[in-house]
Amino acid sequence: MATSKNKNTVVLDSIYGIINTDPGIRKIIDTPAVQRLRGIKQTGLLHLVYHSAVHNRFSHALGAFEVSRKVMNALKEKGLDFGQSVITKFSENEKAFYVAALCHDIGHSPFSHALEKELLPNGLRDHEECTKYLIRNCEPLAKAIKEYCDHELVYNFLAKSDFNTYLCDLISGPLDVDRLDYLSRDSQATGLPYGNVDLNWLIHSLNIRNDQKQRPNLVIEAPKGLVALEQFFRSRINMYDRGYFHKTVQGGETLLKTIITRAFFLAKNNHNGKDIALAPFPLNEILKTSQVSLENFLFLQDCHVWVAILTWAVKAKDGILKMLCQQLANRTLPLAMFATAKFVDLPDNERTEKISKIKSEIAPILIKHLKTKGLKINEEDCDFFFWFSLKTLSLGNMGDRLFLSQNDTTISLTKYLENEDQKKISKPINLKFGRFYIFKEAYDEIFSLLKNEGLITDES
Amino acid sequence: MNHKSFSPNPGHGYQIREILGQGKNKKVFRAICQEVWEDRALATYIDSKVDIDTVFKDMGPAMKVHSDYLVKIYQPFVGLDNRIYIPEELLDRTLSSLAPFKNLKEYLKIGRDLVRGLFELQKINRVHRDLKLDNCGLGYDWCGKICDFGLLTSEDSPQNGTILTRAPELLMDRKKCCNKLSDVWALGATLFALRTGFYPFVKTQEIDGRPSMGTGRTTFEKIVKTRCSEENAEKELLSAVDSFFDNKTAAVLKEMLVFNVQSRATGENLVILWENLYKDIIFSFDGNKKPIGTNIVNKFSEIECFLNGFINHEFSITEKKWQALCNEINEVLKDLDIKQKQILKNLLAKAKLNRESQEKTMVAL
Repeated sequence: MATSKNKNTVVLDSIYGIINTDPGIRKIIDTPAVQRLRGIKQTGLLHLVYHSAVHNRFSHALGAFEVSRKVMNALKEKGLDFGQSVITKFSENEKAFYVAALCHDIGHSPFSHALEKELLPNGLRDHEECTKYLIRNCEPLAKAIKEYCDHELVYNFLAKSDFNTYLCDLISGPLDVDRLDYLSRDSQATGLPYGNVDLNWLIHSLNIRNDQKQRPNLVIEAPKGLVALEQFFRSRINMYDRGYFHKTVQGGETLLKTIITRAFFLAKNNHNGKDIALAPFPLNEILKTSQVSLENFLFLQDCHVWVAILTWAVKAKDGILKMLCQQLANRTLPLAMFATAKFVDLPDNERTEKISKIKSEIAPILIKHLKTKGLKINEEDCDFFFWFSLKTLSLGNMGDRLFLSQNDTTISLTKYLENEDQKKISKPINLKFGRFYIFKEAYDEIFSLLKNEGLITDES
Repeated sequence: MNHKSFSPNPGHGYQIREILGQGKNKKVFRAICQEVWEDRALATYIDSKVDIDTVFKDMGPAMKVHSDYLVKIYQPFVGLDNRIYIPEELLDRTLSSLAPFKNLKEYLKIGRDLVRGLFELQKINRVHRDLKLDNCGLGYDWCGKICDFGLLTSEDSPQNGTILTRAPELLMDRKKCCNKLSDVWALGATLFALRTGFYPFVKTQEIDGRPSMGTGRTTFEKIVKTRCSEENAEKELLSAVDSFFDNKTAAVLKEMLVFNVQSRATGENLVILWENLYKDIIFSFDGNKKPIGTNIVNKFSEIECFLNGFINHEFSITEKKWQALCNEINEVLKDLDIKQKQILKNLLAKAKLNRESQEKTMVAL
């Protein structure tokens, strides 16, 4: 990006049109840690189903930044005078809030959530922890932020530990700039229209109320914002139902995870060292050492993992790794069988026991079919070819953390939904999907077996 | 057997990914359960004499409990290396990664959840014996959960587990058995540590470096015991509670951290106390319709509220913000009466101390 030292510059965005950035923000955008997001797809393997969903996390970061500005402008219009007190108005609050919105996802590993457990720097549990780590420890980024605003304050917003609860919640909360952007963006990119949210009205309905401790909290004005809020919940459910939890997408992501797990397994047990060497830098180094250093993480993008998969699909010595990679490279993904509600609702212990039992019956079938494809495996290796995936989305404790204001009262969404006399919004539904995955050739035989056991539905 | 170097071989579809932690009795790994393709915590006893029947006897009742506030325990099994493995649901993060925790609302929610979890265990007459920050955590839905049931047993069993949260009556008498009320103290100490970053009678720097076995452990136990038996130990602990918490939270925590066992709150009482505490704070809006910042009539009370919140460790404050705040307070002081000036000056002095301690490593009682 060509930048001008003293002037604001603009970026054209497919959702919001022109996004205006000042030189300080531009400097942060131009750091390697933020630019790296261009190489990480926002929605992992969603493009295997919705071919146009190939947008990256960089677009989303700029989108969240723009939403944060829209929210701040809307709150200002409502009479929030940030100029009166240091406590609520600290001149740096606004800038630090924008930076936190821009950088909230820099800790994502390749393929976003799909490989989060596998490819984050060691000791970090999720991308949020990683983001906070990078804000403090990635030197060029920290330097650019320090030049622009209160660096420590950006960290506090991300860690939810600032006095201004509403700013922390807008970065990561039930109704945050992250969700507000990704629902609209993913909806447009996939072509799923029911994922869209009424962003402008939702922002227009936001306000702030002090709690007893005089801390400012984010609220939605009722009844004005209720329809938009209801639509927001529906959009979320729809996008998870039709998009992120789509059976084929989940099949692809399961396969991707299995490939990386197999590669780590081979590296750890010193099998086929040549296969690991086929992966490009820095993935080969990560596999060899089982360590993800900060330097390697900042260099690692989707493309490195793809190159490894495409190479292994042709040249891997390990038969299992080769076959798994071929399946993903050729999009011959594992096929899904839908578990019955009864099976999904079983206590985890019992479900695991059942899966374990059924696995021993499935193993000979898998071994037989894989043999016809020229791959000899033993019973333990069957774990790489038969999967069960459970995905859930619930309102959780969101209802306790989202507040509505009506006349003089402020109550939580949970309490609001409990009151029969209120003009209600429908309670958001929960999603729960249990699916077995199996590769194509063994599908029919295993389908009959699982059907006889009463574990799957006819719909599969 | 060399405890440190044994390499686990659980089999049963589990593949070890990394070691999560090691204590005196157990080693805990993160392992992928390939049957459901999800990560779980897999604990194994270092002492290979423990037999599977004892494990089933102690854990059996807990395995049947389905609670949002206890991690799920899966069927324990004997691995391919003849060790006993106990699989548990893997938490999003343990509380040790959050301490010292500033967000009061989330803190109260975690406290409420953990107290509910403890009561679930008490309902089936089980004692955890090893409650500490590492053994409590947050699930992926940010629900507080108790985990690591490796030392779970029936009431009146011998002392075992961590020294960090050992109840005073147990520290004083090695032969005294663990019971439900010693678990209450342990949970109180855990919640205290979650907010402050250090345990009662233990210095911050001692937490990570403490020896987990051998004579080092015995010496450490003696040090903690000595501190706990000092004349003013209880008084100092309770006054520390006062200084780190707001009045309502402090009152509830004191019910858990009182030395006298008879005066200590039971699990059932605690559930009610924490529930009320949580509701008080989370649903406590003052009905103020005016957006913040407009027409601040009483700047004094606003600053007073802010400083009190900061002194109570409810949020962090950055260096730049602190400087700006001090300048503003100096401006405001000109227009205040003597009494108000004195109040603000006192609060500012306390906040200053708090800020200094925020920067340094926490020093214990």
